[in-house]
Amino acid sequence: MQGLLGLSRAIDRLVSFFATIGGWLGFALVVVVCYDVITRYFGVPKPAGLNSTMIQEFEYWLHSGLIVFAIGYAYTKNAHVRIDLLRENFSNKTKHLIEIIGITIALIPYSAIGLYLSWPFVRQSFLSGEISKSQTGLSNLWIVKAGLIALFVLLLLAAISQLIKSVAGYLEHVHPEDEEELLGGGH
Amino acid sequence: MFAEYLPIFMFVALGLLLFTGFPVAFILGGVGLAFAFIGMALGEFQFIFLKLLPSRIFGGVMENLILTAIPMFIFMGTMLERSGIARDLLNCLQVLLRRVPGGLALAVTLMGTILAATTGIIGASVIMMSLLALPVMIGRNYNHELATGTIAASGTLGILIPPSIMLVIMADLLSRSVGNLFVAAVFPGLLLASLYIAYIVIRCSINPSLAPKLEDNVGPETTLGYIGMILRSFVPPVVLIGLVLGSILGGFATPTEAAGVGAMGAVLLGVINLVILPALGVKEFTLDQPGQDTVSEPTGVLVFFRTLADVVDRTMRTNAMIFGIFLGATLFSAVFRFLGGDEIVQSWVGDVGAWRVLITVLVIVFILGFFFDWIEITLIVLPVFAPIIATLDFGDHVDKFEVTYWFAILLAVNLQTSFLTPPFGFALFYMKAVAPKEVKIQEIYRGIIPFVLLQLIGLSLVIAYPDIALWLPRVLLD
Repeated sequence: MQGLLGLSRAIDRLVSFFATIGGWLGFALVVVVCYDVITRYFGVPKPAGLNSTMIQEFEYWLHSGLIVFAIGYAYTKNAHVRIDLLRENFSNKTKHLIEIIGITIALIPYSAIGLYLSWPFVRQSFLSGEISKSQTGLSNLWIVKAGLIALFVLLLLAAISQLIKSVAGYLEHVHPEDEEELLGGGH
Repeated sequence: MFAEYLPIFMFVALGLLLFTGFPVAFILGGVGLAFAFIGMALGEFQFIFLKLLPSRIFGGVMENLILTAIPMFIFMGTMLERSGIARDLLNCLQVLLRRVPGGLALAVTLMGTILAATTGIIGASVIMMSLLALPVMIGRNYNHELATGTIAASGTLGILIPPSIMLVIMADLLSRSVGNLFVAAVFPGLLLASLYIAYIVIRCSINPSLAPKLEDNVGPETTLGYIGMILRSFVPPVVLIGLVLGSILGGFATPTEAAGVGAMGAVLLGVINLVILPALGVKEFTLDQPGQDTVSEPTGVLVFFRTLADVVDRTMRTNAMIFGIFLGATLFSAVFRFLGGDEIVQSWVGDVGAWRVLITVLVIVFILGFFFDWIEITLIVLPVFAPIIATLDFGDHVDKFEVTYWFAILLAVNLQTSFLTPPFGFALFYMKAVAPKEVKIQEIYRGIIPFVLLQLIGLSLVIAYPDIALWLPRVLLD
């Protein structure tokens, strides 16, 4: 069990590393939008052949980056919405059991199938050298599409990590304060 | 026979499983997948439909310049809160309104209206407002019912008043313009805020003991100090929000542009509040009595960067939560549609007349609001009803083209009411969770009832007079 919990901690660190990048991509989004607004409304020329279409498309790239890196991490931090109405009255053991069942029959299949379906989608985009629909947009669209793979890989990892923690919790192998963190959160 | 009703079973399964307390985002995805496979086993669903999922997620959630506004609005709100600007604004409003009956309650209402942007998620916003304002109100011997009612009502106002994240998502799902929907929400939002204000002033004039006034020796003593306080605490956030909203409502900027500039503005205000003003030796403005020990908040460049990192992290988590559900709901509603869910809903509500449909949807959403936040409700329910809503015909009452906007506003007001209605209204649970011990849940329940009645008045007014929502878009945007 200790070895598995070590694995879970390692996963959490990895997921958290990507999430930090995602968070700052969100801040970069703010900066890029401001740059676009200032250059466009005040007529400042853009360097290096950049145009507004490219910048605006880059905005949704950043937005996508934020999302795909954050969703898995949020699960390890218990930041996803739960309906707490009945859950509050469950014993800790029941909560762990629900988590174990949910992860094995819902979350792991969900992320695995998401991954399985995303792969050909991204591959197709890469092989065909897909570029933006608009003439002046960005090329290499596969990069942002590959975000889907990152999303489902990170979600799968987070699911494994939480599964380990929940099993440990169910077998009463976690410290009370860790358990608090594991079960806490809510809506 | 069984296969025909699959979409209904899908909703039933979702409804039941949500109460297990497993994250909503993953239940949506899991139920969606499970029914895709059941459908395949029964020959009602083909795997090829599932293959469309990545392009649906990509096209609907990622490559979407409307939704790009959401992370930035959340960033702006979180920054205003974490850098102490929201707290300063509340303090300042208290001093400004100290001679008005119920001054502090009014300050809370105004703050809820101004900082509606901060209030993306009902739970988070009610918790923020409760932590910020409730201890102050109780410390000043405010009547508990009045205090809690005001905070819960003002804290949930943010889902209606632009720049509301919920309206951004609704506009996206209904394929309407975010700007138009924002404009449509202005008067209904102000109407509700005015109803609250009128209620508070009248109640506190009749019975001043409900809301003891602020002592005279609190706050700045000189006129110059007064002006300084207003310039420092009131003007910056109000101007920022005014610019953001003004540029969207005036049609100068898209919501995404306004959100980006607003978020940057919030960062600059944070720099001013945490770095520049303390460096210039401007003392922090508190409401402590002279002689009372002031615990001053730490300031400086380092503190600013720590705050920024904190805001970045919180923004990321909130986005993960919203878009996690978005993803799950994308899968769920795609499967629902392929299994023929739309036809079932159409055949149920198709022939009963526009008004019946309207009332039915409002009632369903009201009940759902007892258990779920707007994210789940709008993302799950709205896609189901959206095709029907667009075809509703209210004759002379509402212009056909404007029905969708009116409907969205009604849904928003209705949802807010639902969040406040005891015993389920879950804004109230959040408040109880962070309220000081002496506040009882019964007091919260009693306190909110007048506000629920005001909400119902507001809702009826917007139903009876659609122009409350639709007039401003007509004159502003034509």
